[in-house]
Amino acid sequence: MLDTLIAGLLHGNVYALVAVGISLVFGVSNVVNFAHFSIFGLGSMLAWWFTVEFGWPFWVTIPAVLAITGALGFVINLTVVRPLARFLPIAALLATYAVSQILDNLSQFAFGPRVRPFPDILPTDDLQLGGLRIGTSDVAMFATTIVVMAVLGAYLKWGKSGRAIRATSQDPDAALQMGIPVGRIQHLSFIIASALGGLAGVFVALYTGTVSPTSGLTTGLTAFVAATLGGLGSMVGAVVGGFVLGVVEAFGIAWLGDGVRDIITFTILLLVLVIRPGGLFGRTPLISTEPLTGTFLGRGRPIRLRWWGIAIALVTGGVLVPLFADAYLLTVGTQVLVYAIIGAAFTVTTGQAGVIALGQAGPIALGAYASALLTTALGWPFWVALPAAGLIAAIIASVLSFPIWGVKGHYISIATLGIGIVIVALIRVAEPITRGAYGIYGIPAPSIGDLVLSAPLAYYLIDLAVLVVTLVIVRQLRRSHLGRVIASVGSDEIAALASGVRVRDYKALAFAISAFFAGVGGSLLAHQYTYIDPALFSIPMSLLVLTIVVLGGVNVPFGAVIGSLVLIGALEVLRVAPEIRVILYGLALILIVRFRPGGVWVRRA
Amino acid sequence: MSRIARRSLLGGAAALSIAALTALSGCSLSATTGPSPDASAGSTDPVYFGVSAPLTGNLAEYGRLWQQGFELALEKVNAEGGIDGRPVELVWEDSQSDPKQSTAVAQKFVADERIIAELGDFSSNASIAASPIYSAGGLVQFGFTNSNPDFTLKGDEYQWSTSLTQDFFQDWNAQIAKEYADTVAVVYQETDWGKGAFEYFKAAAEEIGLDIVYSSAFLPDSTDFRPILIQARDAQPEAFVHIGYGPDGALIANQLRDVGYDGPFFGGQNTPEFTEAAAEAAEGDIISGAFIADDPAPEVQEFVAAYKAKWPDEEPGDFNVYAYDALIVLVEAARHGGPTREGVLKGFQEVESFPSVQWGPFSFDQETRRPADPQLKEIILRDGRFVLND
Repeated sequence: MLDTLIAGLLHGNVYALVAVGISLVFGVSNVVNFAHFSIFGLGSMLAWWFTVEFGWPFWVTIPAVLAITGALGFVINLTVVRPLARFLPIAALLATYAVSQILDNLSQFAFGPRVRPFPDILPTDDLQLGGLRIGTSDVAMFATTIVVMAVLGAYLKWGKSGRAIRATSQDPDAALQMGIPVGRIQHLSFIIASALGGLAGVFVALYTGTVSPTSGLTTGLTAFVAATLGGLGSMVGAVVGGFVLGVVEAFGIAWLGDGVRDIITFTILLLVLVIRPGGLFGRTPLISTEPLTGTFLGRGRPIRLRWWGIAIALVTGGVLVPLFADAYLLTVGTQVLVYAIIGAAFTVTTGQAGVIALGQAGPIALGAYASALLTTALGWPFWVALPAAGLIAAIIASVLSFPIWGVKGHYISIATLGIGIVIVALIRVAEPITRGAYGIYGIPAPSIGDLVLSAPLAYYLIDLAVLVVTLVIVRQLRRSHLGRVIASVGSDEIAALASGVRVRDYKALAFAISAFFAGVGGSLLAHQYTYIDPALFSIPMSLLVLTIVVLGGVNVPFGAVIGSLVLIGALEVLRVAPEIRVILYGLALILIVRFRPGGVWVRRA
Repeated sequence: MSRIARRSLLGGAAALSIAALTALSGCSLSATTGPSPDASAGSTDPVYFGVSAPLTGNLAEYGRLWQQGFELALEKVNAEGGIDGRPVELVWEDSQSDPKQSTAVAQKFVADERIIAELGDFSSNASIAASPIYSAGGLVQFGFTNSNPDFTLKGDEYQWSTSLTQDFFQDWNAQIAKEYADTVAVVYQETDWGKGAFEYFKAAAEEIGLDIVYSSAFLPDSTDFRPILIQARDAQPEAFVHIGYGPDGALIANQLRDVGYDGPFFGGQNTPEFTEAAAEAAEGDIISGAFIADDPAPEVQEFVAAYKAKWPDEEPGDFNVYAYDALIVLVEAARHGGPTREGVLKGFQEVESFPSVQWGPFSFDQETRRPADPQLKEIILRDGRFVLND
C-alpha cells in the first residue's frame, strides 16, 4: 500500500515536471502543440548524446540541452506556429504535429532507432524509501519541479514580461493595442516552454533509465492529461495534477494491472473535463470566441464544382483509374477512397458544427469490429453488415461521448481525443467478444452470389460507390434545414443558443452523423485488410483524418477527397526514400498548411 | 447545375462503373494467381527478393538488425556466384510492421514481376494480414520471425518460417523456470504476441506444477512498471518471468530490483537493447538462444567473424542471425527450384537439408512448414553478455 503510494508519487513527479512546460505552452500560448512532446523526447536523446558520446559532465549537459531545445522552440514558433495561428488555430495544431513527426524521425535518423541505457549522471538508486530504492536523481527532480513551479508561477504573476505573456494569451489584439510586443512575447513563451521540455526530458531519461528517439509521445500525452487535470495555465495546478495523476494511476494499475493503464488515465481526463472543465486550479473556461463576431472556421469560399468538374472526377475515378491502374495503385486508391469517406463525413462535425473533434479512430474501430464480428461470428453478408456497422458505430460513439458536449473551447478536442482512446482500449479489453489484442483474422471478402470480390479493383469500385453516396448525403444535409441549424452552432454558438437552438444536442447529432460514416469506413477497411486488431486504430489515425479534413477545407466535403489524395497518395509516393519519407511528408504538410491555410479546395477570401 | 442533370450524371457514372465491373469481373475481381516471368537461362540480371520490414516507427531497431544480417548473407551468397550466376538483390519496403501498410507492400511486391519471393514481415500480425495477398500472387512469404503458430497454420503452401513457435518456446521457458522455482510471477506484453505467449506459458506451467502466483499484462509503450512489480513482489514468487521484448525487459529488470525483489529474473531478449541496459539487474537471466557468439561450430564462427569485421563495436544478436539464415535458406531454395516464383516454392518443398547458423543443417517439416525437430540453446547472462549455460 505504502510502496504503491511512493511509486505513484515518484512517477507523478515525472508528470509534474513535464506538465509545467505543457501547461505553459498550452494554457498560455493557446496552441495545442504536439511538437512539444518531441522536444521533450529530443531533450532525452541530446542529454544521452552529450554525456555518453562526448563525455560532458552533468552541469555542462543541462545548459546545452536547455539552449538547444529553447532555440528549437523559437524556430518552431517563428516558422510554423505563428504564421499559421493567425489564419486558423487548427492549422497550427496540425503543423505542430508535422513538426513532431519531423523531429522524431530526424532524431531516429541521427541517433538510430535503438533504445539505449541512460548514464547515471546522478545516482539513481542510492536511497531507500519504504520498500523502494530511490535515487538522488529523484530528489533533484522533485526540487527542480518545485523551483520551476515557484519561479515560473511568480514570473507569470508579477514579472513584467510574464504578465505580458498572460495578457497576450488572453487577448492578443487587446495586448497589441496596449503596446505589448505580442510577437516577441509569443516567442518568449515558446522558448521558455521548450527549454523546460528539454529539462524535463533529461530528468525523465534519468528516471526511466533508458532513452529512445520516439519516447516522447506516451509520457507527453499523459503529462498533458496531468496538466489538464490541474488546469491548463496554472503552474501549481500542473504540479498538483501531476502528483494526483501519478498516485491514482499507480493504485489503478496495482488493482487492475498495467494492461488497462490507458483506460485509467483517459477516464480520469474525461471525468475532469465533464465535472470540472477548468481542472482543479484553473478557471472554468468560458466560451473561447466572442459572440457575434462571425467566427467562421475556414477562410475563403469553397471552389464550386461545376457539372464538368464532377464529370471529370467521376470519369477519372470511376473509369480511367479502374482501367489503367495496376493492383498496387488500386490498393492505394482504396485507402484514399475510404479516408475520403471518413473525412467528408467529419466536415459535418468539424466544419458545420465547429467542433474540432479528434479521436476519429474510435468510431472507425467500432465500425470495423462491428462488421468483422457480424460477418465472422454471425455469418451476416457484407452488404448488410456495412450499414449496420455505421449504425452501431454511431450509437455506441454517441452514448459514450454524450457527457462531453458541454465542454468548451479547445478542451473539446482533448475530450474527443480521450473518447477515441478509451473506445479503442475498451475494444481491446472486451476480449471475450472482440478477441482483444489477438485481433480478428479471416474477415471475409464481399461477394455477389458465387463471385468473391477479393481483388483490389472490386474493393476500389465498392469504396468509390460508397464515397459517391456519402458525398451526396453530406451535400444534401448541408442544404437542408437541419444542416443550416448545425452550421449556426458552428458559426456562432452564443447567437445560436440565444435563438433557442439546443447547441449541445446538435453538436452530438453532428458527431453521430460523422461517426456513422466513420463506422462505414471502418467496415470497408476491415474487409480489405481481412485482419484487424486494436493497435490499428491509433492516435495517428485520428490525426490523419483531421488533417485530411483541414487540408481539403473544413466546410468542403469534396475537399476531403483532395485531402485524402494528397496525404495518403503522398505517403505512398514518398516510399521512394523509406527513411526520410516521414520527414518529407511532414514538410509537405507544413508547406500546404502554410500556403493554403483555409484548405486546398477553397478560394481565398 | 440542375438537380436533374446531376442525377443523370450520377446515374451515368454508376452505369459506367458497373460496365467496367462486369467487363473485368471475369478475370480480375477475384484475386487469382498472377503470372510469373520466365527465367531466361544464361541471363545475368539480378534476382530480386522483396523485404517487408519496419524501417521507421518504434520497431525500426529490428529492421536495422535485419539489414545487418541480410547484408552479410548477400555478400556470402553473391561471392559464391549468386543464383545460377545471377546476383541476388533485395527490394526494401517500409511497413512499420503495421498490418495496414504490410498489405499495401504485399500488393506492390506481387505486382512487381521481378520479385520472386518475400521476406518478413517482422510481427506475426503484419504478416498474417498480408498472407492472402502473397498466396494469391503465388509468392512465397517467408515470415522468418513470425512465432505465432497461426502464420503457417492459417496460411497455405506459400507461408514458410524458420521461426520456432510460441508454444515451443514457452514450454521450454516454463521448464527452465521450474528448475529454479515452484512459484513465479509473470508479466507479459498486452499484444497478440505477448498474450498468446502467456497462454502457452500458463498451460505449460500447469502441466509441470509451476504455480503462477501473480500475473499482469503491460502496455507496449509503458515505461514505469513499479505498481505491478510491487504487487508481484508482495505475492512472494520464487522467480520472476517477463514475456516481452528487449527494451521493456531491461526496464522491468531494473525496476524489479528497485522495488526490492532479489529472486531470479527470466526474460528479456538477446539484443543489445536488453543486455546493455539490464546487465546488472538481470545477471544470471536464462533464456533460449538461437545462437551464441562463442559457439565453436564453423558456420557460427564464419558468421561472427564476418559480422565483427563489419561492425567491430557491436555484438551480433539473434535478429541478425534470423535474417542471415533466412536469406541463405531462400537462396538455397531458389538455386534448387530455379529463380522464379514457382521455383522458390518448389525449393522449399524439395530441398532435404538447408544450412543454418542456428541449428546447423536442418530440414522443414512439410506439414507445419517450420523447422523439423529444432534444438534450443540454453543461454545465461554473465557480465552483460549471453553465454552458453553449461
